[in-house]
Amino acid sequence: MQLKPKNTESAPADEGIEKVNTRAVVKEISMKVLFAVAAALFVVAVLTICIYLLVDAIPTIGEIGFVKFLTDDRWLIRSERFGIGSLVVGTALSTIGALVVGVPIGLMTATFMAFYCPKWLYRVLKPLTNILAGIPSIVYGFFGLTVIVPLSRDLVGGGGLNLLTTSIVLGIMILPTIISISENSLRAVPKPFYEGAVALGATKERAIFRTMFPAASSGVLTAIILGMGRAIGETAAITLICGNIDQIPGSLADPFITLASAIASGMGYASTTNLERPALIAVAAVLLIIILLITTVVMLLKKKKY
Amino acid sequence: MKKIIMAIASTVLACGIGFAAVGCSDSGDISVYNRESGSGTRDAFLELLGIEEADLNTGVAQLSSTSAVIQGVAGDEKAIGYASLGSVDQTVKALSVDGVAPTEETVADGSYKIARPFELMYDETELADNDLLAEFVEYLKSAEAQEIIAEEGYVSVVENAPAYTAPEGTLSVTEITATGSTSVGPLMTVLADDFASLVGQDVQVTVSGGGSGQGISDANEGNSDIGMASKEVVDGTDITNDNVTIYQLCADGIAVIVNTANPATDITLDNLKKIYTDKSLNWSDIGVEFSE
Amino acid sequence: MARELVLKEGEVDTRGIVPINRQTFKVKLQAYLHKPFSFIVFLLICLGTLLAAAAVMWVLIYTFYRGLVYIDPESGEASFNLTADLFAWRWTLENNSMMPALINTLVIAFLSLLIAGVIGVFAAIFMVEYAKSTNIFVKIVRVAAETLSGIPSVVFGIFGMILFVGLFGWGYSLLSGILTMSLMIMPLIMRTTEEALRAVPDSFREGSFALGAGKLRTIFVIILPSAIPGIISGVILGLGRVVGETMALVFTAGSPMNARTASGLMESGSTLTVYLYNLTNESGELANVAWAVAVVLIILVVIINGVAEFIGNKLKKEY
Repeated sequence: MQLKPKNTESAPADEGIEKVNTRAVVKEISMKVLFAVAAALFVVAVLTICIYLLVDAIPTIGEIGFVKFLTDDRWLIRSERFGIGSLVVGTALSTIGALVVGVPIGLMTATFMAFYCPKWLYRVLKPLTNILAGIPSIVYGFFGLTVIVPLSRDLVGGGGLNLLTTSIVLGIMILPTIISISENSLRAVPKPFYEGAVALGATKERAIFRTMFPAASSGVLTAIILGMGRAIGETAAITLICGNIDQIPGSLADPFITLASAIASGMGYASTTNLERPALIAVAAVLLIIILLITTVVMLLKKKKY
Repeated sequence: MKKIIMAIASTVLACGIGFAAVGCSDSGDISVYNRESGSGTRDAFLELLGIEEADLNTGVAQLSSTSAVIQGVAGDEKAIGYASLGSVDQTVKALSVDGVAPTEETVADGSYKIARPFELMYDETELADNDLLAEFVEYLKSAEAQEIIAEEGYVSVVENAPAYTAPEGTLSVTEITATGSTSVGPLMTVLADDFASLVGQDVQVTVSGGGSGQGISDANEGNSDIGMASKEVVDGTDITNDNVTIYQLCADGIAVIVNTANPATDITLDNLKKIYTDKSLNWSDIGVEFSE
Repeated sequence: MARELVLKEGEVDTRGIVPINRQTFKVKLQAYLHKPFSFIVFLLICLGTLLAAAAVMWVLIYTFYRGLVYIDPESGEASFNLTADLFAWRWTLENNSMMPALINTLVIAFLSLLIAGVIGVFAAIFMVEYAKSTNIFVKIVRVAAETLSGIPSVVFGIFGMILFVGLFGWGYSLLSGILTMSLMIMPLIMRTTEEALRAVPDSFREGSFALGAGKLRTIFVIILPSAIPGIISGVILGLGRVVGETMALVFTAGSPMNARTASGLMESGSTLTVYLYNLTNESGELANVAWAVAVVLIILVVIINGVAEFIGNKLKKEY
């Protein structure tokens, strides 16, 4: 590269500008490409993850048998029975349990924080929910294992590692997601909605539940679905407290297993000499598909705006 | 929308309560703790008792480490479980099986029936390049290592082991990894610590869990320097890599453990097999009465 | 400052007049008596909030109690738990130090934030400054980022295990863990950076262009510095996520039982969360260590969240 002349006036002005321009244009374009590549990396990453897992999973599922893989409720390595029936049911039940615990409490708290909370209390509650969201899941698992498991053992008998314990711990874990997103969406509803309802003679509660909630429904639903996503994908905590037994639980006191915890507890052991490792990767693929469906629903919900 | 959510929520709640009410199925009062499918300890236990995996009473939990089973049994009065003898501490009670107490002697002379080997696997061809691995393997075969093995409550299988001599020069490799069985892990951690202090250089052996299955596959694929397994490893079927050598580190009994509040001190192999196959069994069915 | 109120003609002194829509407690109660259902709902709302607050306090207070108070497993005697032994430079079987795990955590967090930060910020620059929002590519990238942020950590773990640990042959190593974590936090950083960039007023860009600066110069000299607080708060949120992650790291960076500082990027090393994961099933002496690690983790996360919020709030004040 030629050095830029110090005295620009002595050099032909046009030539100088042109030179600077070409250099700048090259730089601009190359950086633009770099930025675009960074953005494209996201697409590449998602596609790689999806394709990798699915390509790995499909032959395995084919070998096990599609129907057998989905419906068999036992996961036995020595007898090479790899059925995710009990895993799917366990995931569904624990998610429902978490929602039963977390959604009512979460929505009520969000309502309180959005409409009732005095300012000083809000300054305490808001950071608390943020902290709740930030606590690592393994801490929740450890807390559940040492505190809630003995309680649940006394309450319903058995080993204490069961659906009840998991529902409570997961319920607490999804609280912050539900609280913060539904509070935000409740606050986003235009104030006149509320004022109008009150002016028409509705009580505060009626105004909130009949006017504000319907107006914020997509946000609230997003909150619940995201909470659901967190409950489905949660691993470290659940592995410690669900009991990891490949059976369909008959009651709240029964141990069970979820898709994620099966991967976590089994992957370490997965031997290459049989189908277990590929089968666990297939389980991960199933988990991925479920989460992808949930993400799609969330994205569709977000489009709806008033 | 609110109504729909409310309706779903209340139905779910009703179902949940219904579930809880119906609960308490026909299972007995024995809280059976298992290791998860694929654990070397579980494999060995089932094999020694002659239980088919599909018939196994999965019980209240399948836990993924030795210490998890011990902790579970320690906290649950009606519990029974099994764990590596060397790991069993005073928080639980180890039962005699058919009148034979689980000790190093009974495991060594074969009178305690439920025992299995601890096996290590490493790539023979790596020894030439990896001087730390070679040194560590030499240490494992030495008298010092056998002493630690005995101290930790395992059964040494090497007789007249030579004393270990620290290497003269500086080792070129400073870190190797051992992965696999969580039963072998605690012993390896202690051995690794002792080894590092004997060598007197800044070297380390990193011990990771994962389980026997992973130990075997890691050794097979060369993911780690040493694979650990708490069950018999068969050359040719488990290990398909020709370069991998299997070395038996020691022998270990599988202790049958119960809560310290449990009055039982002895269990027959038959009863043990019954407990681990029959879900509806109560402690009273095998003659154990809790004082309540 | 008391000021003499000067009334103009036709004005009324409004001081001391109570607006008619101000409800006293008594009025409110009477209204509730007319509508008992509303009252029940009000009680439910309070109950729900109390339960949520109780849950948080339960987890926090119990964890802090067990983390700070050492309980002797044999005698049951209590003393301070977070001893200097727990922060010794080297881990041994006796001191169970969490320092190496802390260092591993910081190394993984720093490097994965570096990678994810560069990619995330660059991608956000592309999305905000270069591409039109109607562009199909932009939409695809947005969908991809959204999807990526929804994938559970265990799936990332499996992916990292197949690709980095297995296929690339890096084994269980910090490097595998770092790359997996980068993938996980990329979308978070991109989203927060995007928001920060959009918050920079267009007049900044116009002013810069008008002074003859090129696009790149505008971005790096004008826009990025203005958006820095937003970007940093995003990065710090990502830091919180890395610090709290367990499963993805167990599968990629390994979970050594002897928790030592990894001597290089190709060595495996456990982070604080993985160290806690290994300790979760221990009883007696080690349970105290586990609680101590849990407390340190919570303190770390609280600090990280606090800093992120502080910086995020600063951003709001600027424009």
